[in-house]
Amino acid sequence: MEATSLAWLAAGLGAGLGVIGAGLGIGRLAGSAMEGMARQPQAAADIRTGMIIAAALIEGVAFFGEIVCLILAFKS
Amino acid sequence: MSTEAATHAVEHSAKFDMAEMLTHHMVNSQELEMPWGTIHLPTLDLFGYQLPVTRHAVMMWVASSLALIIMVWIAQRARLVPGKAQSLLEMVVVFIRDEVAIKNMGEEDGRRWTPFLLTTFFFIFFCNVLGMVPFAASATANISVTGAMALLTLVLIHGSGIARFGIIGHWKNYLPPGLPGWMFPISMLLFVIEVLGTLFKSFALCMRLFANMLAGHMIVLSFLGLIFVIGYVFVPVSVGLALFIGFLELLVIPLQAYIFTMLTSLFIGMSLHPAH
Repeated sequence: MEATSLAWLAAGLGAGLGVIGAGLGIGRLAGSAMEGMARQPQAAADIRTGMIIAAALIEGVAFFGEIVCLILAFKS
Repeated sequence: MSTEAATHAVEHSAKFDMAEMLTHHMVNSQELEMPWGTIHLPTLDLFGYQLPVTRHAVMMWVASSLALIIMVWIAQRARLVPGKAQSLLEMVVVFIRDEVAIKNMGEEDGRRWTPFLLTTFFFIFFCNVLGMVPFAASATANISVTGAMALLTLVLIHGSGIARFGIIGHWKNYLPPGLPGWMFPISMLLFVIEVLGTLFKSFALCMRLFANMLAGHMIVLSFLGLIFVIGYVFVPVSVGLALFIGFLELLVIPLQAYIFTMLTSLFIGMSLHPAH
């Protein structure tokens, strides 16, 4: 197997695994946020703001891996 | 963006190359593609340096001019009872001053740093928004632009600390407090970890903004490119998905500008008011 083919394979696998991590993390976050909002509706606005900020930060981490996969995918 | 892809497909009716199309649209170049033709940007020769004027540089100038014109326009028409545009602007400015600057940096420092944070927020916001405009590009989809902004944050983190506490005093703030002398290697390790932490935080700021902007445009381009791979029957699905991603990007654009600004103010606040 040449290096380029391995790079493309790694790009595909890495992208999928990165998405698993981000999905799990943000899913847990959203679940806890929903539960908190259900328990205390008057705190819903604060919880929602914190949830969106935390989701953006978790997504940032996932994007690091995706950028590495992009670099691999455009190898020639 | 999609209009350029269509023009290209008509021009190069050879085999469609997805990777080439993606790199052509995402990578910076010295060509501005307008509906009436392509404008080739010059390379300035200043003080012996070759400075190429690129598409993303022009987009940064457009974003800054847009922000400047809008702010000056609204501020010069300021009334005691605000109109619609002034209320909108005041909402954002007061939000950044109260929730971001004062909350992270305290009362007097927050007020002093508010103009810088507002500049950061609106520059990133307008740069991102230009990515949604046809025939324009988002300058923040260029790692040099976000890297420069993250480097500015890093310089400000240490510079503000050094300006307040002195050169020795600022680095002393990174040592854990009150450990006995024999734990010197451990406190050295913690010191290195904390200082490297500031580097990594700035790097994360750069990558987060860059990847968010790049990924959004790349997804839309990929969906539209699939039309040329699969066939014209795929158009409704492709355009629908691209539209959905466009809506998502409308949320991401102000959110990423706000996150960059908030994290910058948080880090500078941590440097100005060290926990120990």
